[in-house]
Amino acid sequence: MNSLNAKGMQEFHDRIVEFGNDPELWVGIITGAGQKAFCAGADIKGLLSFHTEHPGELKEKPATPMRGLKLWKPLIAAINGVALGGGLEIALACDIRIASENACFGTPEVTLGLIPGWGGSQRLSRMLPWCKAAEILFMGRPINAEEAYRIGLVNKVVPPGQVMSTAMEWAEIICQTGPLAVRAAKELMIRGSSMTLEEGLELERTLQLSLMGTEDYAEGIRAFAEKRKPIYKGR
Amino acid sequence: MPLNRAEVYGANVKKPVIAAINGCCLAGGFLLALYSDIGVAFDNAYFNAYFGIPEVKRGVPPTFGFTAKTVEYYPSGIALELLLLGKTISAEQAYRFGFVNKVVRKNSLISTAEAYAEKINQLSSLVVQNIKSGFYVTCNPPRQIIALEDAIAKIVRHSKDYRGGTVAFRERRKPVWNIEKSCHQLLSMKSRIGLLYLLSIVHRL
Repeated sequence: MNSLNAKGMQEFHDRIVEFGNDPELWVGIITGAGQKAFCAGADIKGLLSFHTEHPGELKEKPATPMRGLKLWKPLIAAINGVALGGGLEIALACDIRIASENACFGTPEVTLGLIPGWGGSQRLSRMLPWCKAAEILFMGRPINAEEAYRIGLVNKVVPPGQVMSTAMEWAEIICQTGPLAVRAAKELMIRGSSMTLEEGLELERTLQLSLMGTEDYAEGIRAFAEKRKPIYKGR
Repeated sequence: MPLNRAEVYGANVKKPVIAAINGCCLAGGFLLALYSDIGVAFDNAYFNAYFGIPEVKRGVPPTFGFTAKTVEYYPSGIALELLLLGKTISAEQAYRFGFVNKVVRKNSLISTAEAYAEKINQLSSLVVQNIKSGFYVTCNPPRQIIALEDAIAKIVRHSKDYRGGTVAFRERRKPVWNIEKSCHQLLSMKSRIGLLYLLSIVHRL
């Protein structure tokens, strides 16, 4: 079921950081191993027992896109099955979500007397209508892919075998665009969401100025004038 | 560790960090000291250029919260001298502004730092860590400022001045600055002007 323990979390962190630092990688896709599950959340026995034994301890946790890690490169979640608890929260921290018809989405934490701990309480309530977020968060009962699509939790639902290929297709389209512009757009979405409109507009103006100095922008307008496809380098 | 984050320079460490500054403390080194909680330095009469941010001389913008942290510790006139001119200041001056807690003789530097550590060690680590976390929640620069500093640094980083400055440094010659054409249309943008712009925002917020 691809549940995460402390070691898995560290590896997840390491891979994401590698992705973030590799100039050749422009778009990330996160998917689950196997056919059944995207990720069923934290390994309850392994990860949660630690916290029971060490209550209130401020332990350094590896930063992830769910919390603490600033990653402006776009992430796509290829949700190939169950996405529960932390698994759903990983998907929520991605920018685009492609789901398999057999996927399900939920935060069962409350059934254990806990709340989601990787941003679920914040992202669900900001992404969804209040009542749908409350339904998922309070009842701990998962919703299916069709319902997730209906409420705008995922971009697309595809047959089980096609999740990864669809995610690749979407990633390919993003890779045709200017990577620095895409990153600036994501940065604005994330940073802007905790700013006033005025501050967000100031940030937008500043990032726009920075893009105007890039080689990619020069290439973009050159290609447009020459009526050909631009070749972007991320510089 | 991702190398593009303030965490690399010690931001957001939960446990107390003491900087025993045993020599010149410039650029990234200065940032390390800015992000530690207690600073002890030794006074070196021979080497007066102790603390500073010489980046501006190479066309490199301050980032990772550098601007906000400098403004937090130094009066604005001094902060501007550090940031805009790349000026350096002595350990004694840094002490005067409360940036280092103590200036000691060289041979007692480590023992002084250890004495601080020993005092903290007597306390409950849970309580100390929570107090530290509360302290920085209160006085960390607002995230809008960090975001804008990053964005302004990007303007400079995509400029000819940045490329020219770093190349000149490598070739050990004086850099030649030019005003970027594309930016110039909107905002007369030299790296220094970028800095002024940022500082004006820091003061406005």
